[in-house]
Amino acid sequence: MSNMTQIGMSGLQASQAWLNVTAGNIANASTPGYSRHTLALSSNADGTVSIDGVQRISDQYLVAQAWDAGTAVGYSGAYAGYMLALENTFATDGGNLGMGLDGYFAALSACMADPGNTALREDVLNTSRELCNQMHNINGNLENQLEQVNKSMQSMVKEVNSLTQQIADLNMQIQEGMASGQDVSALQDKRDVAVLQLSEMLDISVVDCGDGTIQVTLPQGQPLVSQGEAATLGFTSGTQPSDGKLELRFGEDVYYLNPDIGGALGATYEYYQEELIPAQAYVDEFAQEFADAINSWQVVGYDLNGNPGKPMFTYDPADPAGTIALAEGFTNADLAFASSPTSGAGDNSNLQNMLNIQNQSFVFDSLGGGSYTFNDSYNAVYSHVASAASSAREAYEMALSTMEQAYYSWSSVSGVSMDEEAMNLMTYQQNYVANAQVIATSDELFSTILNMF
Amino acid sequence: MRVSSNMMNTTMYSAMVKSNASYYETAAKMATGNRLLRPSDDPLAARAIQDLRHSENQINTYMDNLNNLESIFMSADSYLSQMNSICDRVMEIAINIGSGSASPEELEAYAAELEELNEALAMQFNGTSPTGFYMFGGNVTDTPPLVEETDPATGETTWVYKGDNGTRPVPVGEGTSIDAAFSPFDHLFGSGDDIFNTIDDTVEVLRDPNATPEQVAQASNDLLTAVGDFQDAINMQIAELGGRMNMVDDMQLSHTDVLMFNQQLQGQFGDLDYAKAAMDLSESMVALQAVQKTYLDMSQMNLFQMM
Repeated sequence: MSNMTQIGMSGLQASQAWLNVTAGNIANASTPGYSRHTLALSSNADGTVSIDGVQRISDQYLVAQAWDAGTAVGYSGAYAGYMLALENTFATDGGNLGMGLDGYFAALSACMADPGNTALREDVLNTSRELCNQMHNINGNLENQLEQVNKSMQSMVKEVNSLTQQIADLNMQIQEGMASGQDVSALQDKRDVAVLQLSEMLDISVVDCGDGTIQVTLPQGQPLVSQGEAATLGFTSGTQPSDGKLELRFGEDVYYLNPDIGGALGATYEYYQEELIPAQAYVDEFAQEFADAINSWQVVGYDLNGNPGKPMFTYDPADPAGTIALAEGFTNADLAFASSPTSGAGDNSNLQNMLNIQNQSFVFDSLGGGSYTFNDSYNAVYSHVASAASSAREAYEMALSTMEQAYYSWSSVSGVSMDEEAMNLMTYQQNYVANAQVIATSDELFSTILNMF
Repeated sequence: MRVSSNMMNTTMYSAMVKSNASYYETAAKMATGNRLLRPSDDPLAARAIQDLRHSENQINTYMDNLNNLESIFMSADSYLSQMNSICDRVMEIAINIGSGSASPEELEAYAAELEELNEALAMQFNGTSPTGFYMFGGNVTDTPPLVEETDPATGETTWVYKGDNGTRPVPVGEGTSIDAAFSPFDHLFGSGDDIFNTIDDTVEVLRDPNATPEQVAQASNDLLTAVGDFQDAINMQIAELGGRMNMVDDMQLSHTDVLMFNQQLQGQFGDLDYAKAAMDLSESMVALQAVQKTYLDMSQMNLFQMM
């Protein structure tokens, strides 16, 4: 009889534990990264049920898949965003150097029939001011982006450092908890979330060390977290915005990282090194080559008054695209369209030389040392930016759908289903009532026997 | 497959975001009429449009130059025919003087008329283009090519040509140019037997009370030669101008064709197909509404609500 009470009692406790697990699942249904729990039970020889513990339903393979997908989304999302900004810089009408050049050379060409016409000459000055403005706009946008990228590199580096530290701390807590037989599932969930967040910042590989800790490394093997020790990243911006370097310190060791580290941090670093800095180098080179080309003909020609020509454009060699401008006090009479001091105002032979610049090729170091006309050089950049932005967006969409799939696979195993929990709630409530009934019955039986005497 | 509650919500949410995004994308395209909202929407088409716009700009530059040349040539043509008809009258007068039958009063009338004709001819000769440059001095465009200089010692005046042989080619096509300058008269000046100085000399003889009939006949002869040479130069220039004007016409026609084709291509690459866009728009709307309805139904489907 006392056995029956005990059996009923163990069942009552099991049902109570089940109801608690169910309550926990319902409460955490929307907690990011939460893996649902079930109860591990086993039956004993004497008919009682014992509670072996709370189990976390988690498939490490699916979790790792979600981490990988997270890296891809972090990387491609950041990259697509940056490329859109670069596209807006180069491909809007305000940044369309090709159209600006066309306007400038059209104004020059219009002077060919009547080089002495001051209204037409003034138009050349106006269109060259517009072209200078376009270069300033592009340069300003790129400088803003450089500044932003520098800032986000700094803040991402901070976030990575805080995540690696967090994972290292959790490593130690889980190891200690497991050694003392505590329920560490909540800590494990927390660590999984931190790793997922880290995987969005960087491409990482994670190894379960078997002692409750995990080791996190970069794909090339540089350590990020080992046991309770975490690496620190640093982004040092030098004197020039283009001097920024990403370095990793682990203990005494220092590694300089390449841009191909994946994730949002990798995307930012890659964009910074492989798009932004070359783009700025290109605009600077464009400004310099253009000013030099026009100036070289200006100084060999003669102006409207038969005086030797002087340079039309000035710029600071340290920042050509940001500073290119018409020379101080340059007027339309200073345009040196004639090639001799005594030829009439109708002499357009040096003007023809200036006009020919649009069909001449110049070596652009910033475009891999290739020879381009000014218009073609811009078109090469335009095409590159458009295709790179397009593939970045496609890659992002693909990564998103991969992540969605990875999330669904993970969630179908580890996620909480409300219907399931509602059923559990009803089932274990009934179980509880039934077990209570067992105890009551046992008590009744015991009373019946007692009343016999 | 086991479906978690979070999964259901996420699926619905991402479906709504996608339908929304595609709806607004299509709406933005319809608002601008452009198939491409940004070059990365179709990098190849965007580059093609960029190239087409560049060549359109170049052709438009050529067309502007052609239109400019056309108006220059039209006014040159009108100056040249005016000069021609003035010369006709000078020729008549030269013949009348040479006949020897004119009275001294008649000779004086001719002299007065010749003086006026010379001034009128000089005015045409120093004619300016619609944009205001001197047309018949080659590349001397900012000062009159024909000036009357006075010798400070003798007080005698002479007509001097200040023009040069400049041709001023203007680009009107890839590797093609048409000259904008005229200098057809340069070779007539220098020895003093050009039309302007000869008319002055003739007037002097006609007004000289002591001039012999032989001198008058000689003056008539000189005038006939000078006016003949000048008219030859004018006619040659008119013929040559006709060639240039034909070239302008031809280039304009060919550029117009290319321009039309260019714009057609730009349209093919960049213009929105409104019928298709309208269909896309209503499809996105239907999809969005369907997801919203499903979500509402789904949120009712919950065991907890039955308990």
